[in-house]
Amino acid sequence: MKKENFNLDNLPKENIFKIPENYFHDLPMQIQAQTSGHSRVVPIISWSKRSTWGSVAACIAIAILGYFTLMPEQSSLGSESLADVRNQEIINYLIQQNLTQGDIAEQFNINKNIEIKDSELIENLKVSEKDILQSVDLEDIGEEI
Amino acid sequence: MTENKINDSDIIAKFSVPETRNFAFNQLVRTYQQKVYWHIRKMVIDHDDADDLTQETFIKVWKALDNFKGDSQLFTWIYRIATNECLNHLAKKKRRFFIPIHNISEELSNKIDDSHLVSGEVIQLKLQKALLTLPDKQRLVFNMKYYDEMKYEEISEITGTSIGALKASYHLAVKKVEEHLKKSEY
Repeated sequence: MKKENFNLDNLPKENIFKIPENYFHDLPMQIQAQTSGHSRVVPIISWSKRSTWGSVAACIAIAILGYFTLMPEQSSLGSESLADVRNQEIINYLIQQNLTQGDIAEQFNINKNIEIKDSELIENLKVSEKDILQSVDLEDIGEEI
Repeated sequence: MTENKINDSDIIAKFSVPETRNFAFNQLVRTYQQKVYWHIRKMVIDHDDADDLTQETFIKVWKALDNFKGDSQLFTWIYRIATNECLNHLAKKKRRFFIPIHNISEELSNKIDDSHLVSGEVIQLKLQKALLTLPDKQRLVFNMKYYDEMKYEEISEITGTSIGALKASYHLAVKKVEEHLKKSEY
């Protein structure tokens, strides 16, 4: 036997669910009893232009104080520990640090092959003769003569 | 609708004033409690669950109403919160007990057989059981369109789904339900 097609439009819309008596009368009170416990928190710190600039100024002051109090300590530590070392030894160390023996030898050979004349250096600097004359100390010339 | 809009703006205005905040919220609950409750009840079937979720929905409304921008109607905004509460509740239920979906439907279906919870003609009970065979989101769309007679635009605002997809979803839901009722020897 062929069943007829069912059509929802022919069915009356009915609410079949039951609720307790006076449910919607009591519900607002139940909800408000809970929300009264959720007191709204007002933030203690609020943004203001003055307090923001104050904070920025305080941060800058702390940074400056930190810089001046920490930096001298670092430099004094360096000078004390290097007090007994001769300047030439320090210069030699700085020149040779991170260099292999091969690098040093190569650098030595390059410097040996390059000869730079004083006149070439002046040309490369592109300084006018007038400027050179102005910068030369006349007393020194007198001594030379 | 226009009358509702005026009331909504009144409620929001009064809610923003500390002295009238509680009064405004009470008005809001009284205005929307039935719509929210029945929207939830049709989804979760059980009254106690629906009661908990309705209260939870309004507590969330209380907490977030200050941030309500008025981009949508107050009603659709509240509906959206209620819908999320429902879907989260059903998803949690499935995760908590590691129960397959059809067993959840069966569990809810058994509640429909409980005469303390429901009353109505046999065909209405069968319709509710048929609805429980649908996926949650499809059932949600069906309820809003069929029972609440909402416009697709409103449903789209609440669910965040395109109108085209909603039309397709409702059409499929109707077909499935009619097929189910036909099989159950209506």
